[in-house]
Amino acid sequence: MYIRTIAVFVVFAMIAIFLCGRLFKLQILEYDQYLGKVLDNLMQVSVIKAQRGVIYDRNMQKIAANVTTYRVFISPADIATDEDRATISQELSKILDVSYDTIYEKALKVKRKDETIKEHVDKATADKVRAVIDKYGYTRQIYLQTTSKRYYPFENSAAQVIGYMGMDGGLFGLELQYNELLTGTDGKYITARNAKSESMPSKYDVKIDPENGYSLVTTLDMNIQAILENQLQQTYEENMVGNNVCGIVMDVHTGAVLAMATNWGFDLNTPYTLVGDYADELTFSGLDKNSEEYNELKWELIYSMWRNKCVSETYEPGSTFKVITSAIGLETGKVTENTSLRCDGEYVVSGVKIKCHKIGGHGTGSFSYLLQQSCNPAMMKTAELIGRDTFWKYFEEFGYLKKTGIDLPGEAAGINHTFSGFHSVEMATSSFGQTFKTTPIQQLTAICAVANGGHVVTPYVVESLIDDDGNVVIDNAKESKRQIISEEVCNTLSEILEGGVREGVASNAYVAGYKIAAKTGTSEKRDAEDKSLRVGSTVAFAPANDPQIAVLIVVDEPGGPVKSGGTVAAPYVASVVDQTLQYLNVEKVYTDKELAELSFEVGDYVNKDVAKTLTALESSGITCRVIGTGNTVYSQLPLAGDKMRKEKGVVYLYTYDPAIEEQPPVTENEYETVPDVTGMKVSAAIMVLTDKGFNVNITGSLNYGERSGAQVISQSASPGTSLQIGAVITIESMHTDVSDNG
Amino acid sequence: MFFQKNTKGGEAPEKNKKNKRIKKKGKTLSVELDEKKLKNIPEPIKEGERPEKQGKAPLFKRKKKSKETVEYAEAGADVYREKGAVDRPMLVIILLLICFGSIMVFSASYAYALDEMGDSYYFIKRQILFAIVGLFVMFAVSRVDYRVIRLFTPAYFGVAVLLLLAVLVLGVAEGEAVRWIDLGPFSFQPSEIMKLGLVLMLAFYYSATEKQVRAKGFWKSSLFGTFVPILMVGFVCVLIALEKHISGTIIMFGIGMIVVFVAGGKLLWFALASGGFVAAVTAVITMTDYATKRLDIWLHPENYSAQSEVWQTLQGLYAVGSGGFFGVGLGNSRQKHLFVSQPQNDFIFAIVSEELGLMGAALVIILFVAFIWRCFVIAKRAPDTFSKLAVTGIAAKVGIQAFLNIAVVTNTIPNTGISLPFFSYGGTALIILFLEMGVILSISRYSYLQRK
Repeated sequence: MYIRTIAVFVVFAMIAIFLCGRLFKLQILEYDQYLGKVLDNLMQVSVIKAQRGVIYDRNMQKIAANVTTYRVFISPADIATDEDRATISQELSKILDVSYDTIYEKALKVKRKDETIKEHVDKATADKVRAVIDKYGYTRQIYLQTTSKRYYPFENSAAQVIGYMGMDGGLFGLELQYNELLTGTDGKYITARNAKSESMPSKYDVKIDPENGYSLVTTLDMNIQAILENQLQQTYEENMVGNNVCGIVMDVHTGAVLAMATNWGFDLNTPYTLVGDYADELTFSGLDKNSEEYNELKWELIYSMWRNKCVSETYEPGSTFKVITSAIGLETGKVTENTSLRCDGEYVVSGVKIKCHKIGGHGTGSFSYLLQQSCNPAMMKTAELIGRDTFWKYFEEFGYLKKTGIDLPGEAAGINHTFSGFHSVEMATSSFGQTFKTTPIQQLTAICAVANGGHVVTPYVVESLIDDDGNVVIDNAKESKRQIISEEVCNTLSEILEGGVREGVASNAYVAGYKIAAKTGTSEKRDAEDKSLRVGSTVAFAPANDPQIAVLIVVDEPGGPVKSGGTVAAPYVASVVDQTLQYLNVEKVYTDKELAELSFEVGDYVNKDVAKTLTALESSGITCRVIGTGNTVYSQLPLAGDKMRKEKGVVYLYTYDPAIEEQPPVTENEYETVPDVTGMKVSAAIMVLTDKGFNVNITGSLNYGERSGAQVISQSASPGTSLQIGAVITIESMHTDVSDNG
Repeated sequence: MFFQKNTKGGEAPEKNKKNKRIKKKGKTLSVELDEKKLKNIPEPIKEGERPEKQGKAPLFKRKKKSKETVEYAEAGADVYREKGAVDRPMLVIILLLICFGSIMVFSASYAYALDEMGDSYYFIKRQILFAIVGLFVMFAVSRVDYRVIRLFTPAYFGVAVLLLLAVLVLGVAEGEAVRWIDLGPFSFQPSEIMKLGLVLMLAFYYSATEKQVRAKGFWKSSLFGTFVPILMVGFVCVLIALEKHISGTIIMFGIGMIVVFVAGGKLLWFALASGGFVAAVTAVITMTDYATKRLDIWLHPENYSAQSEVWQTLQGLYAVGSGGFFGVGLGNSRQKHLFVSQPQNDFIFAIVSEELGLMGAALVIILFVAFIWRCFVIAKRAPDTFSKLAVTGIAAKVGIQAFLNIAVVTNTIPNTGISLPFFSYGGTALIILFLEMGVILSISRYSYLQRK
């Protein structure tokens, strides 16, 4: 009996040990697993959305910001009766502009706890919803959740660069490129809930603060951006551009992109709305709005509207590439600025006859002259002198074989020859920028290397990433990669190019007061069916003696009679350079000639002392003609505020002596007939007009020296009308003779 | 008079048997045995000294020694069992268990009580009330001579049988409340009453039929020592099984088997029976879809979490597992917040494990092991067959229930409603438990040896 009792006890003890082992397994070995289950049970996690980083321009203006919105959702599981369902649907449909049936249907999904009724509701509407919740006590049925919505204050400016934040992050542009850093990490608010989802006393309440996304400080300057976009729009309209235009303004030393634009900036706040030509193309496609083709086309157009032409599309750089060929030639010492070359209008390479744009050729000239004239054979000869291997080496050094690495998505790689396929013909055509394709950003980056003393830079758009407190987290400023051209060569080349602006095919890029080094280019779209299509472009950097900025404008398929880059791009580049440098407070330095030609704003001299006025005007180089003998001016021509050219300009001052005469005398004014100067050379037109006694004001290209081919393309007073002498006639100047087909 | 008779009836055969055995084994051994016996005598006397020491701590000890003494036949004529104080270690273990249990009832029921009753103290107030009543019952019973208890055993058993039959009748009428009898303010489970009833009845039976059980003949011994008592157990089990009270049936069966086993049931029959049982269970599990499914639910509860019973098992497991080594701290259970349903009842051990970790859970197991050990010590020292078997049976009841409960909570066996003695909330069951403790303590008072 006793032994059996012990046996029973032993069995119990063994069971006890077994159960302890079982507990050990559950509580120690599988602890983590069960803890996880319990926390799952317990923890109601509410996400605290991390604030997406703001995008700033270099002046810390917000170009992409967030606004608080609300999401309205219902918990159908908590709606008890059909009556409540109806009331909720009724009230919400009134406030939110969502149909009653839609809401009611959602309210019927009784197993769901979160059915979104409307997103991105503004505060006023949210307040109305809140009132409904309070009125009926629907605190467990209707919910408002604070959300945020991306807002782009500049709307369509730099749209393709900034990009758009879609449902799940950035879709293109910087929003896409820096999506992860902008997004940040969502926070959590973990509260313990019992099985009935009621909050329970607990020490497990945890709040993990969200880590807001970093903000981007871009290199963009929205003012320069506006200047650039304005000019792009002008050339687009004035030159009836068939495709589109784009432009970049870059800091030559750092590669920082100050402005980058593709025309047809759409409103980033409504990125799915087609604008301009894109809208027209869809409208006039003749497709049925409900058809699949229509939808396909629509999306195709939306995507191409979003495309940043500056980085995502390639073109043949044409004559603008001659800068690079020249740089290589000068750097390798195969040519100097004075090397004499001959152009016969064509050059035969390996049996292939390649023409110059100037029929008959440029004749014999110095290298610098021929570059200024954008002579093709001169470049082919230069390339030949450089040799295939060296040319290819530098071509690669300038970065043409690779992407630039700009921090924008979708950068296209250039379309290049292979080294093995790079023979004399290919090299000859490449020397003036044809038969290979590159992106605008690539081309401008190469130009920057010439402008900044030979350093190849990596272009970039984001200067730094900053956290909520403004501390710099990531500094993106790039060091220049490498020097490939000596500073001397760069200076020489700048001078030559600047000369080309003064007296070459780039004359339209002239800006009085700023020395601009520029090269125009017009390339054939060789891959297009229509062989008359061109791409006109101009690169420029300024001031030529101390380059700060480089500008490129590419006009794809200009539709006017003149398609050369010198016409469709250069004047606009000049404007961009002029306005940008002024904005950047780069002082204008005028030559004497420029000073003389400067337009002068006439002051108000009426009732002023004649002698004093005379002294003042003449000291600033203005000729005066005084009519009458009085000592007080009673009338003047040109009128106060008029602008006129100083050189050969005359200010007529009508005088009387108030001490003797009670009122000004009535003088007989002299009149002259306005001649027709349109189509004349500007210098000739000035002569004709001033001979007649008129004053002249010039707009457009101010580079109208006698040797230049600047022509008058319009005049303010129509020919044949009679005007008082001394009146100002404004003429518009334009270099129409510039041809630089590469 | 009655007692004397009983003493003769119960213990005399033991003595005779032993004497017989010595004679049987041969005279050569007898001297040695006698010597051994003589040498052994001082040890019980040492034990016997304890009542004198206890005189300084008079808890439950009568100042005036009882005139009624029980002769300790086995130890010789000069040694007898004397009625003394209750077994102190046992008392300490019981009090530890009930205090621990009550604290856990409070901790576990807190959230559930608030949610269900609107009063966090609802369960603990009642539990303490029942515990106090129970303690009174225990002390009262502990002062009753166990032979009085034996005297009332057949009547108690009869009442328990009637109650079980009543529950069948009432149960049919009341639908789901098959296991309960409702007496207005109180309700109770007759099966709980029957557990004690069966233990006492078996003890009573064996003490009455000792001669037949120890009979020489295999079949006779088997009949009286194994078949008849198993029939009794079977009868009770059937009554409870009719309530569809599976866990109750299993426990009842277990208690009965242990008592029969300890009382001297033939091992052959046990071996055959357990073999048959294993075969039957295997057959049932493999042949019926229902059982197969139950088995799968048990092995892979996570696949059936939608069922409320499985939900309870899973949530209990989560609670146990998330306790870790030291637990989340008393009162800090997370799973008691309505995840473990009715955490103060069958799954209270899950909350203990969660709040006190492996340490606390092991402590509970150790306390129960200590309880069983102490019961068996008392049984060993108990004066007669009835008292030995009664204590053993009650120990078996508490032990089986405790370990089955823990096995359920740890998903070691399929979920079936078994409460954890001393821990689970339950008024009448607690009082009956204390009644049983009273019986143990009562018997423990006869543990002392005294020289005549």
